[in-house]
Amino acid sequence: MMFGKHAFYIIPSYAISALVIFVLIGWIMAVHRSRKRQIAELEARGIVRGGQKAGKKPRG
Amino acid sequence: MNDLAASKPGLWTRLTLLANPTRFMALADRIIPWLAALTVITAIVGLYMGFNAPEDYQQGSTVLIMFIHVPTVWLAMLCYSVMSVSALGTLVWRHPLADVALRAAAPIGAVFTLLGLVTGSLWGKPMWGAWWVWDARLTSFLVLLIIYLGIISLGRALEEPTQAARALAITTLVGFINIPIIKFSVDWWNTLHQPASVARFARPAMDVAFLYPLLIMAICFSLLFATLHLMNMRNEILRRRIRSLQLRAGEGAA
Repeated sequence: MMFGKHAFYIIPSYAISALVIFVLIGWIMAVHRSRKRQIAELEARGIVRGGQKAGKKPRG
Repeated sequence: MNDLAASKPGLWTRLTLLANPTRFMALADRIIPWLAALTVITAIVGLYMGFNAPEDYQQGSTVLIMFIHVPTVWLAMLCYSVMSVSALGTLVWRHPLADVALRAAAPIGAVFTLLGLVTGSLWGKPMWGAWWVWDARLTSFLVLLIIYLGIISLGRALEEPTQAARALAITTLVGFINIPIIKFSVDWWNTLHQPASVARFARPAMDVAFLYPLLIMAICFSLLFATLHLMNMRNEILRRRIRSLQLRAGEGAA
């Protein structure tokens, strides 16, 4: 199917959807990396969760 | 026989086992790549079928917008329904992951709602001659976006976790009234928006040339939601771990 005279509406629909979804995925992945780093920094300072010994590699 | 039944955990036992965030994180880590791969495969198939469908005799090539507009709208409502079940999980069953699921779904639902509004507007202009009309379907869908933003803001405003979880759960359940309003607005009021074409009691009012790619795109968006939801639930669990570690650090310093 060609876009025809409605390309002005169809192309932005797909382009905006793709852009927004990729930004959402990027944001979720960036938050994940940032939080993992924060936990690693805290654990490097010897701060660990209850029941977990300092220096022990955390699960999950 | 009884021994076999006893050795197989039931649904409730499985849900209880998942209450352990570490176990949930390990499971999510394993599932996410598979869900992501299935999302990509269904997207390729759905888009290929959609772009090879014939032009609609009334809507022409703008019917292509349907393949993204309709799934985003369905998912916006499904996401809110998932949040409402999670709200019940917090209030009734006090499942530790219920509040995590609710909070993690809210930004994803807001994005799907925004996309539903944008793609709907881009479809409405060539078909109706207007980017926006204040009819019942469009207005109730805009209200859904406002509810999503309200829930996100409320979650950020309340610091104390138990109080925040209850407030979010109650607000979410109150907002659920809008979901049947969106669904049935086209039947209850005289709207410019067309009535249901797929999810209705009679046969779908759509040719299979459009119906099949639409259903595959709906599966694709559902898989995308499942992937992003699990990823964001993981982030929410990490946020809580950071908070508890920071509190522990504060206790140690005091």
